Amino acid sequence: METAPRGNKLRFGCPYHRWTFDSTGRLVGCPNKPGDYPDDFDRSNYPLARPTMALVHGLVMVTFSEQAPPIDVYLDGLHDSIAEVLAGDGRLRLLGYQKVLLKANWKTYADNDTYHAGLLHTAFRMLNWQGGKGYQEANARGHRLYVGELSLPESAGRLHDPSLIEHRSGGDLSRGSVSVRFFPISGMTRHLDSISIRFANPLSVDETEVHYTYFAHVDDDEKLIKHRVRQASNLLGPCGLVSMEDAAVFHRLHSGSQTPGDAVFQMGVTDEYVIPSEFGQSDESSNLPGWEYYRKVMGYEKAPAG
Amino acid sequence: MMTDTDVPAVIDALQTRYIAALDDRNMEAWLATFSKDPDASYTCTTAESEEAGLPLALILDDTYTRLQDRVTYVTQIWAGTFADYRTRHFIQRTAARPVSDNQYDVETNFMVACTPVETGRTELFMTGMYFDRVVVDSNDALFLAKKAVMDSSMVERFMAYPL
Repeated sequence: METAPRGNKLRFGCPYHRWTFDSTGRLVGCPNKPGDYPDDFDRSNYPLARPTMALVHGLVMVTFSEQAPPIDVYLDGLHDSIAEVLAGDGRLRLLGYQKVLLKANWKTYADNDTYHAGLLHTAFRMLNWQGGKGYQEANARGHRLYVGELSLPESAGRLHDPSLIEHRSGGDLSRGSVSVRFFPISGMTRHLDSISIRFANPLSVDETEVHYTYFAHVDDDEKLIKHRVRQASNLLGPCGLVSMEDAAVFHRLHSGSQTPGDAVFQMGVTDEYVIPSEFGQSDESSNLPGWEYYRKVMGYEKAPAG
Repeated sequence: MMTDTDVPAVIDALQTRYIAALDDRNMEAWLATFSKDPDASYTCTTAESEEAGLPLALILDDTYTRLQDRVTYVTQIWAGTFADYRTRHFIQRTAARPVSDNQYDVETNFMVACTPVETGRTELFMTGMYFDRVVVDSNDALFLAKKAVMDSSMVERFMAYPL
């Protein structure tokens, strides 16, 4: 019905039979002459599919599934964390997008997009930016919260540009990097002054599309907006100083997953028959609650212990 | 003093030097195509963002020192951390307009093929347009501002080198 990736419209028309729908999905126009449709044809029986919608701190969450639980059940206690990522109250202003097509399965992306920060990024290490501690939590639906403490160095080290490590929007640097990841794949991150939602969409078994969508806060002055644009453009995302490696590594992991054998999480696992809900900053075991939830939803048998 | 007919040749020579530097993965040579003016800049963004008036870019090096940092990213910080790839840039100037005695706005189509070392398979990586402000002096030209506007809204995999 609609091919534009963004915009506003009050009417939607189908080019075939000229059926026209209003913004609530109601069929409001359907040109016909006598005999075109059955006698009992009733326009009100043919609305567009009506998604269920919920507004969470300004974030519009939509599903076409009739089995989806109420939003509070789905989020399972994550409301406050979402607010924390979305600048405290979700009153945001769109800055733009960085879109990337990862040559990797969505599970590879989902498993590896968060916990790795302290492990993977050479930039953090080389510039001595990874000073703090952090933790992860995961709930029974597999949604995860990642909190990283940031201690910023006096200078940007061998870089001239201090904006990459500046923190101008205020707030507590002991929670300077906060991410919420929704099971299965989308997520959101606030790192220093960069606020982003990563809308992820599996296109095929080998491809996952991610739209990094960045925001400023509506109360920001022009100077702070400019800073956020610069930091967001150059720090995270497919060309970002810190995150460029991500896509490269996802692709490598995906290639590796074609070889025989099973993926096994080790880091952070203390008892292989217990699924915890709290994890260290770099523990890959934070993926386990999500896959346990997936197992139940998909109806897969669990191998017996021992 | 340059004659008017020399100007397009000098601008084309600059663009050729620019793509040769990138295809050679020589970031110092890339930097040398920019003016040392403190406000010299390189931006890489998408046609989608441009048309929507969205300021966020894929690469936003909006001062000369940030251009220098870009060289440091690629040659020092990222060295050895990503699966490397070769590029091949093709360009065609489509417009050049004087904006002052020695500055020109130049528009150029680009097409870039990419060959990841790990697959060895060449694929079209990106097409788009450069929108450049070029400073032309006695017998040389340099970029005061270079903006690569990608036709695709999307980067495939990742992008370590500027376009």
